[in-house]
Formats: sequence, structure tokens, C-alpha cells
Amino acid sequence: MLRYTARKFALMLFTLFVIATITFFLIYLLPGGPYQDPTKITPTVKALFDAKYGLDKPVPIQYLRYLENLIHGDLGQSYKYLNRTVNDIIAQTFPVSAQLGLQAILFGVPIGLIFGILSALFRGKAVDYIFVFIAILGVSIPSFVLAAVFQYFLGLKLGWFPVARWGTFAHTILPSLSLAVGVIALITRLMRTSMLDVLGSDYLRTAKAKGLSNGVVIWKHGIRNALLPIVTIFGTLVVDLITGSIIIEQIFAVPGVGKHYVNSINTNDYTLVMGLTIFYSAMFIFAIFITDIAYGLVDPRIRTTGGKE
Amino acid sequence: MKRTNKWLPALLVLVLALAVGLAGCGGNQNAQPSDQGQNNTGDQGQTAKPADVQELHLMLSDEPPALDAQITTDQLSILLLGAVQEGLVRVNQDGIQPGIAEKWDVSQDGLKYTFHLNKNAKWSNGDPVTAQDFSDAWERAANAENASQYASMITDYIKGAKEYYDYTNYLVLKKQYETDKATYEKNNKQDDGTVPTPDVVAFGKPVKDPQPVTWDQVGVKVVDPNTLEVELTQAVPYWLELTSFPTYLPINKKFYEANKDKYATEPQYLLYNGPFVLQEWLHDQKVTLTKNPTYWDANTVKLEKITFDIVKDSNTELNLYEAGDVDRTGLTREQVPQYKDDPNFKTFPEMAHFYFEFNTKVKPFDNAKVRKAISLAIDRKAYVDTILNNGSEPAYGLVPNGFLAYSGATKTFRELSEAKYGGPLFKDDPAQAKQLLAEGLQESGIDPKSFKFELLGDDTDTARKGNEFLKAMWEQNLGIKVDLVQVPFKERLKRSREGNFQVVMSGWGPDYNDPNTWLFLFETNSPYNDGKYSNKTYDELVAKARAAKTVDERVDYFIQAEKVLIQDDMGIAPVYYRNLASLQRPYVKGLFEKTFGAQFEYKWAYIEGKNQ
Repeated sequence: MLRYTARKFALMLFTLFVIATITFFLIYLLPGGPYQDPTKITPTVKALFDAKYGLDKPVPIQYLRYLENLIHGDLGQSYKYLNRTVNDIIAQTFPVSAQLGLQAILFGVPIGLIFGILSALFRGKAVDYIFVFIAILGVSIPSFVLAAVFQYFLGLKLGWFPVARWGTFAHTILPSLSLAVGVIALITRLMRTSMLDVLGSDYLRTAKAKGLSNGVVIWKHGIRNALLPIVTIFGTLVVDLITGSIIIEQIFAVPGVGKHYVNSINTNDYTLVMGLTIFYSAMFIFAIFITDIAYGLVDPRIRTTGGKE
Repeated sequence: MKRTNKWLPALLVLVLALAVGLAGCGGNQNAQPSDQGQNNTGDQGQTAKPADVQELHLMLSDEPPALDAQITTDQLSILLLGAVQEGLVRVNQDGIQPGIAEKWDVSQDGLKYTFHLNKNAKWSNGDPVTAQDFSDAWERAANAENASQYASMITDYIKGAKEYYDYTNYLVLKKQYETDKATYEKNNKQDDGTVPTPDVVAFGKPVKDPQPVTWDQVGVKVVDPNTLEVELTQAVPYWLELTSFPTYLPINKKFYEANKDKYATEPQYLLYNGPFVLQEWLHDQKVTLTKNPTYWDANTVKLEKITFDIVKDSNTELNLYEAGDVDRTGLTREQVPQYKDDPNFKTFPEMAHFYFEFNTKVKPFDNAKVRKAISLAIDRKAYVDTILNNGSEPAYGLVPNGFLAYSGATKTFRELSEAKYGGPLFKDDPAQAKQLLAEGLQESGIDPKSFKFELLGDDTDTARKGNEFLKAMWEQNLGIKVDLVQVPFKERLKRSREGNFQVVMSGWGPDYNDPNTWLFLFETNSPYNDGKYSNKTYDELVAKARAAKTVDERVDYFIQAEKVLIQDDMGIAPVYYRNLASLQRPYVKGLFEKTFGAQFEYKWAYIEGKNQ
């Protein structure tokens, strides 16, 4: 198990290194330079800026320097925001996105599970149709439409929630809800399928034949086993949600990290683009790593076949 | 057995009910206020009181990137700096007002200004604002080592500042030349492959052992702490107004040096001498300004607080305005039709001009008749009404409608031009366009049947619709084929600068209140002259205007130059002057919208009648 973990960990670091490298070189393909108004920049200003950001060195040196800083956890200085470091920007904006994401998970996952379970238990009944319909709606309506609708009706017309902005718990409800709808839909569908699978399996029939009560069968043997696929996607789902959504953040004027992904590319803020890509990938890869480890723990087959290669 | 059987669904239902109930709870908690974030402002509880709360709620479209006055280049930072800091003068609807300078004398020839500073002017740390603070700031901007992108704001006008900049520039380049020759060569390589030495780059000619130039040699003299003397290289009518621009704002050197690394990144790392102070800066979220109690003219300032929420989405902006959370919002083109008849609807001439540049290095765009044909074939009125629909105006000259003939003039540039030439410089005329095109193509030796051209434009929604519209008009009125090349803004700029286009839709906004900000664009050697338009007469007239002794003479030369560019050559084709549409609550008074520098002047703004 230790060898398996170590192997996975090494692979994780290697993946991150590859991503960092690819990002570093891709950045240079963006049109224009990193400075805000290239037309106003004289060679002198450029020389001074290049020196400040280390762009005056040959690309291989820049790359090594960048990797060195990365190892020390230093993502560099933003080009657009004067004297702000990428670390600062992530530290200030990530907690906001993380809060929204976690709220969406805390709200969305239990509901999705309940919808999925009930759907499966009452397969073909009205309850099933209603929940499946909700799930399909949730998957097919884009989040920007949903967010705009929530904002307009629940915020502006009914006045139940703040229209947008950030500050109190009330401000977090609509954006969290907008995120949660997708989660509910996803989990409902997944849980329903998985539950139906389990309900039709032989061991469940055996359990029933042994004379166990319906509740015990469903609870102990059914739901617990059906939860496995949810565990599989849970890690990546969490990362996806806590790293922010540009659409939700723009619409609700939330100071999260999500909008920086797109904006930093538009403004050619090289260091911010690289920093965010690496930050996001690191979280993602780490989630996959944890999932892999969890798998290894849960299912010995994965561990042994993995070790033999 | 039976009990457990019922227990499971019951539990599920309970959890579900709880979850739904929780969501409902959240709703009830916040039943009334849609601006919970501001409950510390107290405007909820005080609605019964007759007095208006002097608070203005506004929005910023992005996080302000840099509040360092000499370094900043972006509109949002300039806007905030205008509110929290003060230079020699301020500008409102009545013209130039005293700022830190309470009065000033100008020499007869207009070359020497003596500013008498207000003795009560203080920085927010209690230090007095002195003449030295201005001198220090301008030195900082003019020293090439500090890489101020607006250094030319100082060096173009103040005597000796250009020499000071060139010398410091030489030092920077020399250092790079000696330590990092590869980059130096890359940055300074000429088209013919040669690399000039630092002295040639800095001074424009070889200079052996250049004489050091120090700031003492520049025409900025600190006579005493309250008296500043400034000598200019030429008498330009707009220089005084220019001193309200951020580059000219004073700096407290002692404070700056103590906070160098963090300067202007957080409220505590900046000093204030303006009507407001930066109270709170929550990055990416909100900026709060409060009245500056130590401001020398604090009695005039009525607003106690201005909040700026950072909101990027235009529909969200509108919803926040509708919900009453903010007092003003800009409107996009799509939002205009719905609000056009709203009593709070306003349009403001932004003075930005959008025009076609023709690549005069490429056939047949070197031919004036072809350029005129392309220009005359479009219906500008239809374009602004259907595509923009926000009060933008058709353009028939380089200098926009409403742009003054000079800083402080009573007449606009266009009025004077029209008086001189008996009307606009040209008119839309598809019939004439068709004839001109035939003649022009024949002169260029191009078969009219196979002629087509490419229009390079932006890829935003509005630009795309506009480009399609233009294409249709050209194809219909000239009987030719037009291809559209639509790229992101930066790519469009890049292609324009490289001359990689036939016809491109470009835009320009003025930097200061003088026609020169427009007319310098199309001088032969201007860095912004992407189409490489070149006409000796034009160059001479613009040069004559700049050297003119009186403002009237100056304007007249500019007017003649513009006629050469537009009427004679159609070196560029004006399309439209952009207006901005907005909604503003009627209780917001005295908010002055400016065309140069900070977009708004807040000092004289106040709230009246909000509680009625």
C-alpha cells in the first residue's frame, strides 16, 4: 500500500510539472505582451519592466527560475495589479469561492442523494418522474441562465435575497443555490442509476431471502454500496466547485477567484494565468490522488494490479 | 420490523423538509433588505428622517489595478485618485477651480506660472502639502528609471524636463547595454538590422560623454514651501488643466520612501490630500471613500461617503440599480431601447471617435478616390441609430462634436470648422461614391469587377453587428464584395501596428483638452498612424499650429490641417463619435462627468430629495 501511494504521489508531482511546463510555453503564444497598453511603452519602459519581471533573461533561464520559485511556493507578481502578488490574489479570492462551493456541496449533495434514492425506490411512480424531471432540468439549463433568473425573480422582483454583491451570509445564498442546482441534478441521476443497479443485484436478493427487514436491506446493503460511484466523483466535484465559477461570480459580483481565470488571459497577466492554472491543477490532481488512495483502501484489486505493472 | 420499514422514508422526508426549510429560512432572514452588505450605513433605519444621508452608491467595472499616481495608466485608478488626491487645480462645469494652488500668476508670454499654494492643505498624516511635494512627484515621473508611462505629460511641457528624461533614459539604456546586451539589441534593433548605441537611442544622435542633467536644471523651482514656479517650453492653452491629471499629483516623498514596496496597494499605504480618503479597499469586491476631515475645503464637500461595488456584469449592474442598491449605472447598447424614455436616462458624449484607417501602403488604398468612395458609401446616421442606439453621433471630421477649440474656449472645434468651410467636411453620398470608386480603380489599374477588400474589426457583439451592417452597405452601394476579419481587441491592435490590414476600424479617446490630441495622430511619424498616411501640407499645418503665438491662430491651423486630412485626402474616414448612456437617480446632484482624466468629479456632488 505504501509503495502504491508513493507511486501515485510521484505521478502526481510529475503531472503537475508537465502542466506547469506546458502552461509556461503556451503563454508565449498569446497575442500581445503582458503590459497593459503596449502602444504607450517605450523601449526604456520595456527594459525596466522586463528586468522587474525577469523577462530580460533567455526563455530557458526564465523557465528554470520560474520552476525554482514554484518549488518555493512563490507564484510571482501580477502584471496587471501593481505590487500585488499572485499568492496574495489567490489568498484573498479563493476563500470566497471555496465558501460558495462548499455551501453548494453541503446543500446540493444531500438533496441529490435523497432525490436519487427516492427515485430509485419509487421507480416508475410519480415521485420518480418528478425528481428525474428536476434532474434533467438542472443538467440542461446553463448556470448563467439560472443565475440570471434567480437574480431577477428572487432578488429583484420578490426581494427575498440581495440582488448581488458580497458581505453577509444572505449574499451567499443565490450564488450557492445557482451552483447547487447542477450538483443536485448530477447526484440525483448518478445515485438513482447506482441504486437501481444495487437493488437488482444478487446479494440484495440474498439479504432479503435471509429475512432481513426492508429498512436494513436498503440502508445497510443498498445505499452504502450505491454510494461508491458518488465517492468516485466527489473529490473532483468538490474541487470543481470550490475553485469558483466565472459566470456565477460575474453575475453576483462575488469577489472570488473564478473570474480571474478568464480575465487574466484577456489581460495577458502571464504570472496570474500560470499561477491560477497551477493552483487549479494542483487541487484537481490532489483530489484524484486522494480518490486513488481511497480506492486502494476500499478495493484491494486496484492496489495489487497497480503494483504489478 | 414494521417500525423500521416506516422509519426510513420518514427520515428521508424529514431531511428533505429540513433542507427546504433551511433555504426558506435564509429567505426570511433577508426579507426586506436587498442591500444587507451596507446595513452599517444606516440608510434603512433613517428613512423616516427628513435629512438626506449624504452617501453615494456607485460601481466600478473592475478592481482598480494601481493607485500610484505617477505610475497608473488605467481609467478606474485615475477615477479614484481624482477623488482622494488633489493637484494644483480641479475642473468642474464652471471650468478650472483652485486645488492645492489657491491662486496663480501667468507671465505675459504664457511660459511661466507661479503657483501660490494653500497653506491649509494637508496630507492625511498631518504633513503640509508643499511645493516640494509637487517637484518631487514630477521628478519621479520624469525620471526614466521609474518607467512612468505618462512621463510625456511632464516632459512634453516643462522646460528642461525632456533633457532630464533623455539623460536618465540614457543611464538606464547604458546600464542594460553593459549588463545585458542581448536584450538591449532585441529591444533597440532598427529595421535595417543595425543596433544604435544608448546615446543615439536616448538623444537621437551620437553624444560622446553626455553631460549629466539633474532635476535642478529643470524649470520647476521651489521658491518656498508655498510657492512653486514652473517654466514651460511653449505656451499651450491646456497645460493648466493638465495639472489635474494624476501624473501631476504631488507625492509625500518621506511617506513614499518608507512604504516603497507596498505603496498604494492598501489604504494605509497611501496618503490623501483630496476631498475624500480611501477608507476601505476590499480587493475585487468594494472600495469605500469617506469625506476627508483635514481637506482644506472640507466645508464645500457635502458627501460623507461614496461606495464603489466592483460589478462586472452589465445586467447585474442594471438589477442593482433597479433594486435601489446603487444610484447610477451605465447602459449597454442592448439595454438602451428599454430605458430610452426613462426620466433618469442620460447620454454623455464620451468624445471617443471611431474611424476607418486605410493602409495607404497597399493598392488601391493609396488612391484618395478609392478611400473617399469607401467613406461616402455608408449611411452613418443609419449606422448609429440601428447599431449603437445610445445617442452616438455620425462623424464628419476628425475632432468630435462638442470638443472645445481649446481649453477654456466658448466655441467648439467643429463649429469653427463649419463656419470656415460652410458646413461639414463631407456628406454621405452613395451615388458619388460609386463614381469615385470607378475612377479610383481605373487610376490604380485594378479591374473593378474583381475588386474586393477586407475590413478588420473587433469581435465584440456590437462590433460584429456593426461590421455586418457596413459590409451590407458597401456591397449594396458600391456593388463590390467585402470580407470581414473579426479578431479580439489586442489582436486587432497588433495587426494595425504591423500594417497587416487593408481597412481597419480604429478608435481613439482624447488625452487632454486640445485639438492636438487628435491632430498629432496622423502626422507622418506618429506611432498611432497605422495606415501610414502622409501629407507634407498636413504635417506643416500641424507643426505651425503648435508653434502659433495665439490660441486663435493655433486653432485655425488645426482646422486647416483637419480639412486636408478629411476633405482633400480622406486619409482616414470618420464614422461615429461614441456616446455613453446611463441611468442616474434624480436625487444625485452636482455629479460632474468629465471627458479627460478622472471620469467624474465628486467634490461638489451631493444627495438631495432621496427621502421625499
